[in-house]
Amino acid sequence: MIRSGTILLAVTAALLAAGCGSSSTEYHRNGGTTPGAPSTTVAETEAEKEFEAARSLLAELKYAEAERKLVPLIGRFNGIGKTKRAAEAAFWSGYCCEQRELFDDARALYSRVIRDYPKTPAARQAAARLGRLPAK
Amino acid sequence: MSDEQPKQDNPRLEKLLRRWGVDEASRQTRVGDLPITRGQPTPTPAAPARPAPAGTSSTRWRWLALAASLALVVGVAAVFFTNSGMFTSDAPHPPSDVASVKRNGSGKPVAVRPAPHVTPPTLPELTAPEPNAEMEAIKAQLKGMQAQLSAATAKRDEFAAELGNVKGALKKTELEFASREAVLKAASSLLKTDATRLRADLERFKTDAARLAVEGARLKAEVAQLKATPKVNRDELVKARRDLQTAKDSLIALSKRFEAKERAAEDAGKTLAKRDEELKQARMKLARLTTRDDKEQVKLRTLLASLQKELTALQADQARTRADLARAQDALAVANAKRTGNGGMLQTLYLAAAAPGQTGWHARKTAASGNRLLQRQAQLVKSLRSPETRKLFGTLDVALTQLDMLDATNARAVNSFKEMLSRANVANRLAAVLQAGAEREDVRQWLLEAQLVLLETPK
Repeated sequence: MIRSGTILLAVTAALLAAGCGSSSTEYHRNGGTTPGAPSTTVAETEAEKEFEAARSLLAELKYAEAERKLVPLIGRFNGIGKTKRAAEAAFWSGYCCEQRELFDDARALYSRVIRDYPKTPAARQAAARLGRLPAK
Repeated sequence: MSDEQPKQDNPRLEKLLRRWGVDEASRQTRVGDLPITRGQPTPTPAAPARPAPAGTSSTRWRWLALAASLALVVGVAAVFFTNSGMFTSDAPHPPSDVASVKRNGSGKPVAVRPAPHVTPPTLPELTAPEPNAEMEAIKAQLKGMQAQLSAATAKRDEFAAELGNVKGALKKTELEFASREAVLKAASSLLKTDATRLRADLERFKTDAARLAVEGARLKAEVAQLKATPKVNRDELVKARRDLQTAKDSLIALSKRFEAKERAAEDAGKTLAKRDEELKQARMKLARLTTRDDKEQVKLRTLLASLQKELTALQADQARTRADLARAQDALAVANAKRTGNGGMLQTLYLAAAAPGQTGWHARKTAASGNRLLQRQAQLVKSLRSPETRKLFGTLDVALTQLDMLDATNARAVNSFKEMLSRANVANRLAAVLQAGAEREDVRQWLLEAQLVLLETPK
């Protein structure tokens, strides 16, 4: 019993560290403008750089690392009014969860993209991906 | 009237009565001979309206017999007429006269038809017949009448049975008729409903047929247009693929030749270096041997000359190899240029077919979505054979998804996307997997399409 409980705790900790499962909390926590954020241009440039890095990680199929970069970017892009980029960051977070077979988290993130950023290319892709996810 | 009545009545009256009795008896005999016809009343002899005269016992019996026969005849006639429908409940009964009801000898009332007024004929006086002969005659007459009555009754029963049968048959026929009429009415109603429905269906079918004809004509026109348009593209695509394959084959052959020449040049270089080393050592040895005897010096000089000759030959060989190498490099460059040109042509055709009228990254985006590359990727990923292809599919999934969300008007975004493709080494990985040829035909087809969509100049 103790051993299985330890394994469960370890798995939960790993999931939280990876981002999936905690992504919803992060998503909300970073939803607004960060207090004391640098000027918009600098913040945007930095966020774009982070986003590029995350996309490169995605192309290298390093989904957990990519997701750790992507989740905070949702709030940062929202904070500087870049909602389209925020939608993309949220979508790619869901994509990472899907590739790691964390389908419930992926489903939640895709649904949020569709709900919060409708009529964006990310929402369209999220809807397509949501339809292809395995049934619960 | 009593049997003991004395013979003290008026003899004239007795005579008259006797004569009347004879008269009546003769008349009864005639009546018994007449046939009984249906619907016609049998002439009924008039009953004596006055009591029988008192007289002898034979006279009294005679009167009684007469009265009984009359009553019987009247009864039979009444029964006969009643049963033969002469007198129905609806028809008026013949007038019943109280006076015509008489009581017979047993005291029972006997219905008697009103007798016509009979005027006794004025006949010459006759002698009375013998009573026994009269009785016999009456009995015979009675028997005859009974036989007739039996025949008539049988006939009546027969008619009644026949009438019953006819009535039954009529009732049955009427019931059948009513039933068939009801069935026919129901059928007629159903037929009317069906006819209405069929007419409505017919109208609807006509409308549908007209609409389908219009739709069919439109689709035919579209199909004809579609058939005409892509056929050119398909033919060009097939030709381009064939050219590309030819170019690839020649390139592979040239590469092999180039590698062989390169190896030969390398070998020649090694040999040259070895000879150079030998020559160097020989010169050093010659320098050391300057003080030795001339004979040995001559030998060495000869050896040196031969080595120099050999060196010259090797240098010429090396020069030839270098020239061959340069030619092979030129051929390789030409083949590469040709292949790139074919790839470019193929890409142009592919994008033009999928995104007519569009150019650049707009055309690539439209081609990727129009050819459903992402959806097909999701279907094909289960059939991949090598892990390398599986990884490449993952990268291409990311790349194609990014392409779908790419703002093609934003140069910075486009450059960033291209850099990502370059960093992921997509071009070389695609070429390697395609050249390996380990995957199924549909997978290779998809990879080629991804190559045409993602790479600016497909290899």
